[in-house]
Amino acid sequence: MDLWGFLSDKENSAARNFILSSVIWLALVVVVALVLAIKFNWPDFLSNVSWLSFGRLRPLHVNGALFGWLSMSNVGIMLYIVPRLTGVRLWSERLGNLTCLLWNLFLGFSAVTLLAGYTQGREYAEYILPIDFLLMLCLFLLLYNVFKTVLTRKEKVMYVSLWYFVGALVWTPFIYVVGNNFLMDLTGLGGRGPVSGINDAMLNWWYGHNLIAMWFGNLGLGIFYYFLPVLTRNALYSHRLSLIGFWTLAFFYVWNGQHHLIYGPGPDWLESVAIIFSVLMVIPVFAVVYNFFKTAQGKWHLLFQNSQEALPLKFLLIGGFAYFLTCMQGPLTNAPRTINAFFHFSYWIVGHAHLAFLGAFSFINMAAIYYVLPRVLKTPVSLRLANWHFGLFATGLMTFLGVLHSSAIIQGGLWTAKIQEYDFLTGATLWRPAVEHIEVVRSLQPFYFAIMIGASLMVVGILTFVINVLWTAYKAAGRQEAEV
Amino acid sequence: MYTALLLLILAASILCLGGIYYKRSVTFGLLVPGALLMIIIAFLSTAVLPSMEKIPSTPKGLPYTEKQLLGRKIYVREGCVYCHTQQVRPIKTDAGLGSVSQAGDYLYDYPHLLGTERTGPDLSHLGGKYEDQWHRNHLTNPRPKRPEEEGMPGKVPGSIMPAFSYLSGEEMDALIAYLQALR
Ligand code: HEC
Repeated sequence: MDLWGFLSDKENSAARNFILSSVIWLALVVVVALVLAIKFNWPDFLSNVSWLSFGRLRPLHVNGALFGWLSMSNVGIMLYIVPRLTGVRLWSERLGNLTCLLWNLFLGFSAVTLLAGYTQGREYAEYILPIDFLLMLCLFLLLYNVFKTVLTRKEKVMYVSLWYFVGALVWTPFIYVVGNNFLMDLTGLGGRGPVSGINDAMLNWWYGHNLIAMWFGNLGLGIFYYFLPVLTRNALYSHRLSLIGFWTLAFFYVWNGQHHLIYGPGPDWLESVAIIFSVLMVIPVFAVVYNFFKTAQGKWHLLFQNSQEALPLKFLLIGGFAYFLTCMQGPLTNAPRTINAFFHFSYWIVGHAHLAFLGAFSFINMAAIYYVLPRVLKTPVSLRLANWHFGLFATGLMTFLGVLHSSAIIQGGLWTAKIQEYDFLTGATLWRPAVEHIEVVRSLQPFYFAIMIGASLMVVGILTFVINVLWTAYKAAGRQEAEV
Repeated sequence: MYTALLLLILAASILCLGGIYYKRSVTFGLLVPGALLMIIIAFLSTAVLPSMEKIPSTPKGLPYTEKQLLGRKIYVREGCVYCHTQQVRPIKTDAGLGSVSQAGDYLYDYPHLLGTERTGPDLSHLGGKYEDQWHRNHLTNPRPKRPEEEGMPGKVPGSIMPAFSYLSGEEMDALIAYLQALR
């Protein structure tokens, strides 16, 4: 045993290790998610223990989902795709495996520190400095490995997926260093001087927003662009469109961060810039989505086919469709000022985030894993379990998202309901909330319950997936030993 | 300011169009510097430029005492920010919540605690609304758990806020001092 394969030099071993680690973190994250959903209904469930308090579990849930499940599976799938698009082996499989080991270490540390209450308190940027360093190290090792592979490639022309991968690896370290307050905390500039209060909030959302697109979005799209033609067995509809999509995304997306603070205390011109660019996002999204629908044309019936070949495609088609929905939701319902006024601070945003990360990117990565795993391990996955996974996950997700978005309408409506009062002394018109906040909480009770039901269905579906993947790996390991 | 902004947007547009028209594909040598340049331009215009604006001071933007700062740390540590905002917007949805937040209000806030979700109410103007004892009862457990707690100040039936009974006496005092400082 060479540390469970973490020092292996075998082809695809880094991809395999990243994928297997990612599903283990996924299992942890969804269990935490379920605990959180229960706490909304029974707030005294697992309370009185600081480590299991809502405010500690929530950052673990978000960061675990992003840096654990999504990042690791993204990287694993990328390490599988890059050799196939470059025509050479990964530059160093050993380095890849070492990165995976470090990545797991980083996640382990981060889970413990977050639960113990060590946090920087900024959403998506909670990790404390030492953990930031560890993540940066992982990113740089990955960057080095992938760039070396791309530079020694045999294929002359770089396929779209590679642009997205290289782009993600260039952008993410920059975003992380300047936006995470990594530099501010190291140099002590934060807290006083140029970065405090409102500037900290602007930087936080500059970072949070761009990390999502430039790391998760780009890797996700790279994976999507690779598997779309592979799984549909159709040629990519238009390379020109993908080129436009790539550069306009790189241009428009990074200006959007401030739309998280609309009507906030920041400069108004910045908000306007963010809103304009958010709406412009329709262009790159259209490029991707048009390409998607055109390439997938004639294959939608495979959604209903029950076979090993059609299995990954099912997930990919749903993922692509969810991508379309979530990307329309952004410019149409989140950015425009009047609609934002209604939905900001409500569960609409939570719904949007889950639609993107669970609906779009998790479905895409699950599709990729169902395709990659049997090839890397030379062992088929269980089709029956996979069908249960699909059914439970899709049903749960639709319930969850439907209820979450409806509850947001209740919230916005009740918050906006005002009683008008006329002050005879000053002649001023005053507005006073028509309902106390606690009434909003009480009227959301049935919604919280339904959300929990949807979440449970999803969690069972996802655990089926995890068991399927690990069981396949176990079978493959047994078979390999028998062969030796 | 606006000239700088327009110039930066222009530079990014040229890069973008250049990327699209230069070749049918993207080369590594074009991609890496192009990508880096684009993000640096965006960073300059949407993070650095706005930080250079002068922030007028406001009556709400006061430094915290030692004790309030400790309380603020506990507020951060316990994740109160995931359920509570500290930001009042100039729109009808927020009317009646108190004076509208201004940049100067946050002068001494690091990390910022503006928040993104209102599972619980906005806390911008909480200070002075309740007695300290109200907060102590509420934070220990917001719900009445025993019959004699019905109707006690700080017990809110139907609340879904977590109980923070594990906080030590000193931590609780500091947290309450911070909450009372939010005016
Ligand atoms: C799970 C979400 C959640 C978390 C975490 C949370 N709260 Fe609350 N909070 C609520 C809800 C819901 C209410 C409204 C019902 C009530 O008053 O208990 C509330 C109400 C309050 C109130 C009363 C406000 C008023 O104007 O009546 C205060 C004060 C408060 N919370 C402080 C805190 C502090 C301090 C923390 C962190 C230690 C915290 N909350 C963490 C959900 C939360």
